[in-house]
Amino acid sequence: MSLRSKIFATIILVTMGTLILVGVLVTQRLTLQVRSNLFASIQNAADVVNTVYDLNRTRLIEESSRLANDPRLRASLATRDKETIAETIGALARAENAPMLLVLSPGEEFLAGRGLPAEDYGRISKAAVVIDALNGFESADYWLVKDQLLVVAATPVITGSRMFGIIILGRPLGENVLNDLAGMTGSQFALRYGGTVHHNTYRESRQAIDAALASLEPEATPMDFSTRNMRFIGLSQTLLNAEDQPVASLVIYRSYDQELEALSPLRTSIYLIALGSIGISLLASFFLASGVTRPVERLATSIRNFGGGNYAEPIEVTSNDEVGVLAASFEEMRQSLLIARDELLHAERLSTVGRMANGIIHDFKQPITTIRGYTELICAQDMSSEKRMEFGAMILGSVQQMMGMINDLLDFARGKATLHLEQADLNKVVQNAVSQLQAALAEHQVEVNFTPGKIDSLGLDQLRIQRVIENLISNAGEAISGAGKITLETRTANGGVDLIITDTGSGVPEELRETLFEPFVTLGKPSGTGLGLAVAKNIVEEHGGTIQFQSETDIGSTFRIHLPANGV
Amino acid sequence: MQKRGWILLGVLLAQGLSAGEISGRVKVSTSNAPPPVMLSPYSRNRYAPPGNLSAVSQPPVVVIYLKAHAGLGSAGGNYPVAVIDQKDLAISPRVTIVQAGTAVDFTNSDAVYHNIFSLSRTKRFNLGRYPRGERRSVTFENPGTVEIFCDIHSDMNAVVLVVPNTYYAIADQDGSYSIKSVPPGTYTLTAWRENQAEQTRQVVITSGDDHIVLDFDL
Repeated sequence: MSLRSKIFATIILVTMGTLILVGVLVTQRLTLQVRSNLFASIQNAADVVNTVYDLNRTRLIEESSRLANDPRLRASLATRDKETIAETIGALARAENAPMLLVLSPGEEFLAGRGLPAEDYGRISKAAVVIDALNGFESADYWLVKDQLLVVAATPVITGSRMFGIIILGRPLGENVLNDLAGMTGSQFALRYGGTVHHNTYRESRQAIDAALASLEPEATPMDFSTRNMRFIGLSQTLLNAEDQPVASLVIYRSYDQELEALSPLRTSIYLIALGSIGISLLASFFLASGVTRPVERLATSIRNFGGGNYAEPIEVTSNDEVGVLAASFEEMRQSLLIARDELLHAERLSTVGRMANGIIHDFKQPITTIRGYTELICAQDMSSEKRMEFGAMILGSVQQMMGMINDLLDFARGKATLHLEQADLNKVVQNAVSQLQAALAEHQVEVNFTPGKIDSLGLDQLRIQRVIENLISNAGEAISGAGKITLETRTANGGVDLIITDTGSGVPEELRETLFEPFVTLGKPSGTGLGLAVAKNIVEEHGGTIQFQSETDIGSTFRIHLPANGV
Repeated sequence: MQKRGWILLGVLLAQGLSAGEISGRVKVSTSNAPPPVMLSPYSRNRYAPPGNLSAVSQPPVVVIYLKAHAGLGSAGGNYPVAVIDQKDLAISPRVTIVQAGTAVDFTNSDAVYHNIFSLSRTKRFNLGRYPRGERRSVTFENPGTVEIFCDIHSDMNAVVLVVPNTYYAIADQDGSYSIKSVPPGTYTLTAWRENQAEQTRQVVITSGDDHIVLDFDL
């Protein structure tokens, strides 16, 4: 994975990670906020409830007072006649639409009334409101009468010196009050007593919610409860009567799901922003990464070239950072390497030259021996001029041999041959080379044939090319043991000229085929320096050409030289 | 005098000679005074304080009488009309005792309307509203207690005790009473106190010399 991709991926991952984390944290915080808002609303509603309850009770006490002031009620109580009193109370209760209206005598005896089951008559005198009324206080309380929760107020019916009795008025604490509360506060209310939910302001799913509510414990702080597919938060307020006994509990609650839904546009915004951010960071990181990695890539390319052996290209230092420092170090290294390589080559050459000198000195022995022998013979005896010429030729031959070795060595030591290019006909050059060696080879039963092709003139260093061809022919000849054939051929090819030399020799030994053109690779010939083919390759390549061979053991070898059309 | 006259005188004398007396003392307890009341602002502010609060400091009226009996005769004849007035948002007198058959005039001396009514079984009536200067009349034929209220002003109230015969006495300030010239017979002696149930005793007068002393605790 490239550096750029890594940087890319890192930036993306970091951005995404951060965004996800932020998103989660924000959502959580918002949810907490929603919850705490809900809690606050519910607590507020609870306070409102208390105020409403107080108002309710005060209202009822005032109503009860008003009734106590009714002259008809007083007149009927004054008669102490139960029938009269019952008649008056009945009419009053109807007129007031009061579910419960009772009167007691000053001695707390039940006189008349409606809305209370007869079995409870005896207990009224012990009720807190009655006791208060007897002491002159008007008060209100909560009574559970016939499974209905009533707000109850008792007032003494008194004028100046006279106490006529006690009146008790009861009205239900129910639907209307709760609906008013729900309208005022925006919360939902449910009244529980006698083990069931009696009133619930929530419009739908009553049964499910009632079931959930029924099991809610009274708690002063809001808590969660839910039906199968709805969640709520609520608290339960206990309603106490005048004796501090719980008579009912009021649940104040709100829909949690609804409040969270209000958050969902916000959540959508967060997601969109997150996606947008990721997109932006993709773009940004794209450019950033390039900025960081491009110098590195350039350096990597330079170093790769460098590693491949191309020490020529300088390594650019384009920045001041660590990459720049790295590039500068590599550039220093490259320059050192260049110097070292040249020195090494030079040393190698010198050592090669040394080796070669060694080899040549060894190889010179034979021709010098030949020269000495024949020279001694010429000096020692009288001989015929033919004999002298013959011996002279032998001496010359050895001299030429030595010259050839010296030239090879010089060529190699110099490294590059400086070519003298002239426009010439290759066929001529080939013919010269053939002529030189044809006779000698024929003595060894080796036939040399040359088929010149139709070729254009080339830019050639004739001398050197001739030597190369002579070298090849000579090698071919040495490869043939006994009788054989050497064929040469030229033809036009690829914008240049191909020269093909084929022999029927024993072929190039397999172990030498890879390294044939390297210096000092010999077949073990006594008169060879092993430089011939190396020099040949050098010269051919200096011309811009190529030299290759194919060989099969015991069948022969084919050498192919290609020389381009170097115009001169 | 004619013979009829002498016989009448004789009868009268005989009656007077054979009439007994019932007397005694009534002890009145004040334990059932109403408690001091903390009225709600509603009732406190709606009306002016009742005019007859001053009655609290007065001792209650106590009447001792004999229930209707054939031998006691009925209260017949013309009795003067009693007058009950409404003044200063109060009915006065607070307690009126009349003999059965008496007519009572209710006068309105206040600048406001009043509406006198009663739900008592003895006499249920409703005079309707009438302004100052008017008077309306009610005749109480039956003996008993009649509680009277004003339908407009809830603190206005009074009571009329209708006695069946002439044999009644209003207790003194110290509680003593005396009913004279009671013909022999068996009677129900009743002690009546306002705002309270009556107490009754059986009384037998055998001869004109009987003096029965009965005390009541009300």
